[in-house]
Amino acid sequence: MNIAMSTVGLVRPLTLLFFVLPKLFWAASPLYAAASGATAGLNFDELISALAKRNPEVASFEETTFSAMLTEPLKTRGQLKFTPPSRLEKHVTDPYEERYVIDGDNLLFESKRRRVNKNLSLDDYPALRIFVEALRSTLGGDPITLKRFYRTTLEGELRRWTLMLRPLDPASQALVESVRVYGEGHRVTMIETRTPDGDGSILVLTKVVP
Amino acid sequence: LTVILVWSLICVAGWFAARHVTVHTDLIDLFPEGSTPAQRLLLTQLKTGASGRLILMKLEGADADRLAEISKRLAASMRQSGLFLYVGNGAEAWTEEQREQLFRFRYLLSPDMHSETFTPEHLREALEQRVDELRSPLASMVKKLVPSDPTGEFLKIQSAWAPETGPARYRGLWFSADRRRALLVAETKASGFDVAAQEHAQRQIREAFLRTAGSTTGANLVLAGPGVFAVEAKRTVQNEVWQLTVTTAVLVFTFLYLSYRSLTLFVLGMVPFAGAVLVGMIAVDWVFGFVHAITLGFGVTLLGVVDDYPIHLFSHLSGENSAVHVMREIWPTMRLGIVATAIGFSALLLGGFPGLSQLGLFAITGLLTAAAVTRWVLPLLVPAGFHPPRPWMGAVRWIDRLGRARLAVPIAVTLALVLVTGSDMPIWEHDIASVSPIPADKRMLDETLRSELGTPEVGDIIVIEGANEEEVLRRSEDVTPALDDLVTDQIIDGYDVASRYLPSRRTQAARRAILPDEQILQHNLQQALKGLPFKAGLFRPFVEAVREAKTQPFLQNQMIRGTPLGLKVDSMLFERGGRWFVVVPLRGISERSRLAERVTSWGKSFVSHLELKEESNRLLMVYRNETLALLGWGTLAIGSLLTVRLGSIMAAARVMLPIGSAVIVAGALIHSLGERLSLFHLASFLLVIGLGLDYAVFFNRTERSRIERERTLYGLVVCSMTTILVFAVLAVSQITVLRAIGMTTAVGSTLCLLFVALLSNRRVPEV
Repeated sequence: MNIAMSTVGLVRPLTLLFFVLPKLFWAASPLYAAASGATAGLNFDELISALAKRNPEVASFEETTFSAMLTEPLKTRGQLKFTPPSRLEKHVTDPYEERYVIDGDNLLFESKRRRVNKNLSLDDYPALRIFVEALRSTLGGDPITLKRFYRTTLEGELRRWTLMLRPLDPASQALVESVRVYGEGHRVTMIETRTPDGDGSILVLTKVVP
Repeated sequence: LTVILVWSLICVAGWFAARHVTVHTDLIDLFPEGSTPAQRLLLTQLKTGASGRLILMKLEGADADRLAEISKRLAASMRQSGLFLYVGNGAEAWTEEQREQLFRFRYLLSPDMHSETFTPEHLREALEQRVDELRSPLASMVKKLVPSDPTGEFLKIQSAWAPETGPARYRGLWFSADRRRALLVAETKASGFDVAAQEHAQRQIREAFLRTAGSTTGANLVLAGPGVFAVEAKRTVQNEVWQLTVTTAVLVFTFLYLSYRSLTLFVLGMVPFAGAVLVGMIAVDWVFGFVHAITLGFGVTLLGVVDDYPIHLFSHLSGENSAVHVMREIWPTMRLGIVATAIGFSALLLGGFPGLSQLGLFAITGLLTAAAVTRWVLPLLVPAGFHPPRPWMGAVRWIDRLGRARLAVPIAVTLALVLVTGSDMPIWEHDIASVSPIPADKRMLDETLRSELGTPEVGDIIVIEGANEEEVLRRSEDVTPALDDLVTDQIIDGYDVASRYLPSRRTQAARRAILPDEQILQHNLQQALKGLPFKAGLFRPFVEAVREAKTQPFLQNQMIRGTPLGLKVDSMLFERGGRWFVVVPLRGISERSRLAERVTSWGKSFVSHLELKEESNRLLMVYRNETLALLGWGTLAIGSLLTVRLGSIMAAARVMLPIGSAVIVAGALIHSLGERLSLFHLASFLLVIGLGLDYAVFFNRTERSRIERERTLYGLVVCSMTTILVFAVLAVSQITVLRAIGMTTAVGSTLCLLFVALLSNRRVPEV
């Protein structure tokens, strides 16, 4: 009991730091400054169209999950691969091995450790769908779909921009509050997802050097 | 005059009685009872089971998004109507309340509850899994359950219960793989055979569709399933009854008028017929408690043959003798014919198929009534000196000359036998589908929809029997490991069993006993949580849930009634005649013989394997053999009757020979037309024999003069032609059973007339 308590005690300041840090980072960044209205020269349709990928793209990711249930954020690392127009693969390599392949409406979930190999329908995972559609439409350069399902707010300048997506449909709003896509030039660098209960995750993408 | 008065009184009384006759339209009333327990079970399931209440629906003709919209609204409107136990279109079938109920029972339902479940080690493992889930893309789905169900029992239940095959989806709704059709399934509250209720439910669906589809052009709705087909079959039957009756009446009237050019004759001819219908109806109502609309419709057609009797009378009228006198003269011959025909109709009565029994009783009582009326009432009604003209006498002379070609009969019989033995086509019909009133294209539609919905028609089942619900559930649980082995050994692809959804009390009690005391659980949980990043106190709901579950009552059948789960259980677990049954549908059987072997090797007398199709076919075969036996006994009965009446076996044989030949040739002819013989053909043969005998006895009657004989023949030809007309009309029916009866009888009676003429014994004194 004692040991457990002390562990918790140790972890808490760390968490605080982690929750606060990104916000500090934001406030300090030029992008944040730009967000206060100076969006001159950055056109939504143009940016999204420019993001359109024609070839498969691979990036390393590090994802940090925050939850009110947890005393500390959880991290996973791996690779994210997008194959236009609709295939998205998330391959977790650390701290365990897992693979999620989304192609159209299908979700393939593979975990060697848990001996799972399942084909699911994205329709059964509405929260995931909101995230996936946001990412696919952004990477795939599909401004029409984006505007059909999300309220979009674009801030910043081409050098550093933030695209905030909020679901339009109330059922989705109950699951996901917002998906924020951060980018530099024609590259997405970070995706932040928030749920209405205050939980969320930050996915940082770094380009894989071929 | 007294006779006429009495008869009128009887008629009036009969009319009043007939008005109180109950007429049923449910097809269920025409189904047989089955002779083995397995067959009875099968038929019960067919009559009342959940599979009989399914309505399969497809929406098509618009783009997928529009179809999804219609599907959503149609399902909502159907759920509101209160006519359906369940309406599924792919969207969440459970209400929040139902989910909560199941969640509360998770520790009694989870298939994975074992003595280790709440040990520190096992808890640790489960908690680590939850940590991983929280950082997986699926986190949002499982997050809510973590504090109250960290061992994941609810998810285990859900994944164990999830159907292994399901339709494709689009926007969360069931669609065909190409997204051109949205798919829905509904289960009516009414039985699939309650045609009126089915009709009502289906009308509601169609109206709801018209409302929801609104202005969408091209979008249309197609329904399938047993209830839908029952309604369609009823419509077909109704239309046919009307059409066939009218056609028959017009044809017979025209024919009779052309033959005799006399309206008086026609009106008089109707008297025995009307009496026959009236009495037949009352008799059937009295014996069976109701008259089925189909019996009434086709019984009336069948009774068209009773017109033979007045025609026999009229054909002997010459104006010289009174009708009463003539009647008395021909009565012995006529009586023989009547008894022979009645024996023929009795094949229908004794066949054991309730639908046909009704028809048989209707026909026999009608026949006897018509005979009695012709004998005792009709002659009094015939105006003195009445004798109909016979404009086609020439044809009769020609027929009478056929006797010179008697060799044609043995030739035809030989040819027939060669034809049958040389044919590759099996003689007997073994496929129950052939007697199904559902047209083949509808059955195809049903099959396609079922496969798209991932609910293929079950071909094999395992039946588990017990004295009560608890026992049969326990037995199901005992058999489950053996069923799992069948899957492991790839003998079957999968199975479904009621005890999965409603465990026996024994199992629920065992699971409840696993739940630890609060203190032990607290301790184990603390141990397990060491070093894991969960917040303190997060699992308080879990500890409370376990404490509550320890004193929780068991999940019982009535608690889940009316929920999708209850529906599933109801279709697989039921009571019949004081015994309880669990029906285990099997999927994907690779080798039926191995499956049967395995089930036998379990050595459990309360478990049996049934191949539904084979069982149904066997049922059909049992009835066929029964009918075949009846055919034999009927022939024997008629043979002895003739022997007694005619005085010698030779004389009887002379009468029966042409008829036997006619039956053989008719059988071969029908067979070569591509029909396989079923019990309905067999029953018709007995009818043919009865009718043929009626002709034969008159044909072989010794007449006093050539003129007399020609009149007899004239009457005979008219009789047989009306019979042939009546049954030829039935032969064009869309209802397979009626077509079989019509075709057999029409062909058979034609051949009878021909062969009787060919082989007739002409002992006419030259005058």
